[in-house]
Amino acid sequence: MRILPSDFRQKFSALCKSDSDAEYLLDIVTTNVVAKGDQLIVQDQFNDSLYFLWEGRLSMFLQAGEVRIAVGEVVPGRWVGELGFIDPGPTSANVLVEEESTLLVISRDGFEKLLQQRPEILSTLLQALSLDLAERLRETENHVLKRAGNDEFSLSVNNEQNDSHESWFDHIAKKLHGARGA
Amino acid sequence: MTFLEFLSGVPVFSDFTQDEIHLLEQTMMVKDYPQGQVFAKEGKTGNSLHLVVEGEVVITRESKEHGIDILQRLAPGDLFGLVSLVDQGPRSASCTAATHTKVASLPRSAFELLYKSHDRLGYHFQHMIARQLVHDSRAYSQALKSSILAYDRNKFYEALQPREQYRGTERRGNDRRRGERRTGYRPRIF
Repeated sequence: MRILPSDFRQKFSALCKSDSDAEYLLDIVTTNVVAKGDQLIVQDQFNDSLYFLWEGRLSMFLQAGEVRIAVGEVVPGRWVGELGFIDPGPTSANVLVEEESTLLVISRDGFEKLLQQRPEILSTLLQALSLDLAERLRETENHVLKRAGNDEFSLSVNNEQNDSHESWFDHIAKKLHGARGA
Repeated sequence: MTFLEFLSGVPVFSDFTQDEIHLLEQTMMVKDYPQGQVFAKEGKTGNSLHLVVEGEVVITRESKEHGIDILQRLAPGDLFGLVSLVDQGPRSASCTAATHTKVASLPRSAFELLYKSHDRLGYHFQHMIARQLVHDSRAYSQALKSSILAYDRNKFYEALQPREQYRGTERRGNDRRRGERRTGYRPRIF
């Protein structure tokens, strides 16, 4: 499958500034086609790669014991795995393949290659990922702060209105993981 | 201890070379502030990235029920004001000196210069910013997972508390020299 740099730049406009940057990125990514039903990322396992979704559809969910919270879908033009790409470590959520998908993957080796050869592309990438993370953190914090010292929550517990109770966690999970296009 | 020595021991700058730390030291403005000094007001756009050098800064938010809620306590080595500088949005909460404090500030103009530059220092700075945001995201994610099962909001807030706190630059200096990172992480609410 051949992807034109101009098409890549159009789809991931925040992540690269020029067709030549896109061309370089396309040179260092590996293309993975994953089947519907596959689990791309398993929560809490080590990851250091960034996955751009070129085609298809992914979904994300959090698992804690038997509780599962769907946090939304990932559509073409978005990405997953950015936490581990920036700082290799455990993943924060599960990622399932909802439709056969084409992913463009930058591994840790790709990160190092960018750093050594094209640091300006890595800078653009880090800034775009940081902006996205900052916006998600802001939305998460606003939700967390909104309920700080707010009696609405305790009233819902006292009245055993668990729907309201659950939505507090659901909302934070969705804001934090920033599923877009859901 | 000089400010340069302090900066050398701060874990968030562990990837910086001594020359880069030195440049940062020259760019940041260190000032003493009295208790009660407001660094950033909720709803206003942030103009600086701040680093607590001495004392304690509290992150607060006005609440209809309780007046002022203290949401987070920041100690020496903690940064604040980051999200507002990165996404250029208004502050989510206010930051106030809880004691007599010494705070180092990087003005927005210098922040943007570093944040947009393509040299080695610029990259280290950008990576440091990105890692801070990742750490905060992971801290929230962990708090969420530890509280979902019980559906207990208090557990969520408890999980956000630091497991390990900064106790002095000497240990921090050792951390850096040994290439270690703090295992505990203090999430900040900006």
